Amino acid sequence: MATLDHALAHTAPRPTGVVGWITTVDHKRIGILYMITAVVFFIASGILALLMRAELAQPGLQIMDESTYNQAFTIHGTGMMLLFATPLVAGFANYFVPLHVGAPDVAFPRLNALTYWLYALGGLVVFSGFLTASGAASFGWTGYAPLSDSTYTPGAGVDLWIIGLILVGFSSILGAVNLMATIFGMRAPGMTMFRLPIFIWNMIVTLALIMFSFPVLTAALAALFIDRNFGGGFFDPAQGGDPILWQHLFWFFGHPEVYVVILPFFGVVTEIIPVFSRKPLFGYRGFVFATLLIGAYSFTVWAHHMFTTGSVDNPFFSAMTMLIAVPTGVKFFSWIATMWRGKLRFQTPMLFTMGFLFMFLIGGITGIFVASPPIDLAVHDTYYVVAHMHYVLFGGTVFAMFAAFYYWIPKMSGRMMGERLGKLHFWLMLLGFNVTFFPMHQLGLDGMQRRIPDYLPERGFDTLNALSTVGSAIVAMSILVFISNFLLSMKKGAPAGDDPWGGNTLEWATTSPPPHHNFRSLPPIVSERPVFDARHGVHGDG
Amino acid sequence: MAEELRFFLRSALFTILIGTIYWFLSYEETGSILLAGVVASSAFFVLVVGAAVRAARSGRKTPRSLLGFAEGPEDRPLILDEDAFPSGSAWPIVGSVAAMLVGLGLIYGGWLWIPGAGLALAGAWGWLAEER
Repeated sequence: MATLDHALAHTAPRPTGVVGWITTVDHKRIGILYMITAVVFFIASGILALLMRAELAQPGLQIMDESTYNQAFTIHGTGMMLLFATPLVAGFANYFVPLHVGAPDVAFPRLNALTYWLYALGGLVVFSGFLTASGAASFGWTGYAPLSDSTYTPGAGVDLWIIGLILVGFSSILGAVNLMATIFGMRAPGMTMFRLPIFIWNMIVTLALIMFSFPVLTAALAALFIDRNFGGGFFDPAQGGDPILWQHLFWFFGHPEVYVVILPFFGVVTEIIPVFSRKPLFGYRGFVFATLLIGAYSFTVWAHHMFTTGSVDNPFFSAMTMLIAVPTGVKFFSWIATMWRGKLRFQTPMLFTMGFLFMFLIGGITGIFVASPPIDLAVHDTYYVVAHMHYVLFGGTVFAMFAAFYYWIPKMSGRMMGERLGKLHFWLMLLGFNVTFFPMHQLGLDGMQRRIPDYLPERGFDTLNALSTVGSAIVAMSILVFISNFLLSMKKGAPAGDDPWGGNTLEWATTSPPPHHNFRSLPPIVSERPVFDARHGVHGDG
Repeated sequence: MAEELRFFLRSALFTILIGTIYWFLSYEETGSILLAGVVASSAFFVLVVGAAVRAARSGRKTPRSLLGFAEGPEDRPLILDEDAFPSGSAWPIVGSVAAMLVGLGLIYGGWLWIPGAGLALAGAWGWLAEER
């Protein structure tokens, strides 16, 4: 045995440059690769969204035909959900789970690298459908049978979509097992389960959701591939199959997936709020159990997406969906109570956290409405649902993602992000997001269907659609402000120091950026906020 | 009982309860089987985590010590074996490319399985043979 410094000095030299990044097994580098790749897919999928909004700005077909529009919304949805949001979670988890639990790396570093490359290559395979003669998949990210069978959507683009997503599915499952093993098996001494940071508790539930739900998607995709190419008949009534089976399988994955991309960000904002309120989190254990309940309920609500099929037990799924609002409400009360009478600092991470709280709340409230089958029957497949979904996923995941970036980029890079540009980014995004998506509620209530490239002028949809398109351009501008801020900060940003925010968790106990294998020493861990304890000389629970 | 174990135990018990209610309310087969799958998966993890907890309590190696870390006096500073940290490895990307080629072979023809299988074998061999 030797000291850490001595051992590091004797570790084989790591490759540098591009080879170093390609062959890396360091969890921090893999985390950064995940984040960069996810953001690239976010931008690619966002460009598809901008093209769709441009098409819808006025009646008639302006810039693309129906088939191209179908491909655009399919790959937009697939890209945002499975190639951006979920892998972004993997990126943050890769970088910060080992740091939060005081571990030197993940449990299986090479497996970690494998999961990244499976994801990156799988994503490229999905997008490569655009290069085929028949174009990319064009039936919506939900891939409903029989639209996705070889009769209605022939061509290699769909098969590429399936194979790409199977690769991504395996990546997610293997990554979840790896991170769960890291949390359960590699925690620092003293870090009991109820001293884990809230971000880690949210990750535990997220990882369990991935382990239980992604195999269902992966198997369903394999069945779809067999149907299309080998005459399987799983989803074909003519061969004794059932198209509704696909919907059950897809949504048994698809609804937990919503929580896969939101729970980690609940964790992120729950780390940020106490730091920027200068108070401990209100109700730590209640928050943990609310997270467990949300995870458990998420497997009981899948068929609220299928109310209109007439083949599911609507009252059961309606009741279970409304029940999820209870633990979510507990979390909101914890956040508000944490801020109550705190010394609030509205720096950029906290601003984005506030944006998250308000936008996600709107998405949650509209979710209660569509959890009621009579209302859902009226607004199903309209822009009301598009608005609801984007308030949950953009208002939730994307706002919290930027909160996380502004909070953690100083740790990852050693440089602070610019506050002035950060605030400009926030206000532009808040404005653009609401101008884009709020009018969609009314469009949906007026009867505008989703997934159509055109509408009749006499339907009166044009003004709100034009407004929505203007909003999407403002969102795009806000993203450009973020990119500019990032590039400028990496070049000229102020040095961050080890703990620029006065943080609570272990990542702030090491240098910015952390050294290879993270820590040269750890503070004693006697609560869920060891760095706060060390700063204030606390030596016991509470 | 270790909290890690309770986590999956709660998951299994909750899903048994909900699954039973769901079955008697709906008699719907697909969802009921999927919920049973969650119960089975949770039970599997109860067994796996239970074994890991028993191993840890009996002093056998845990993932943390397998990676080379052990704790010094008063839990700090961290101490490790000299050869603990894996350096970079090309085999994960080789394995991923192999998986992609096998998948693409299903679309564009079995000839892609030849390089796919070759890379898969090379990747597996290289990975297992790697010292650290």
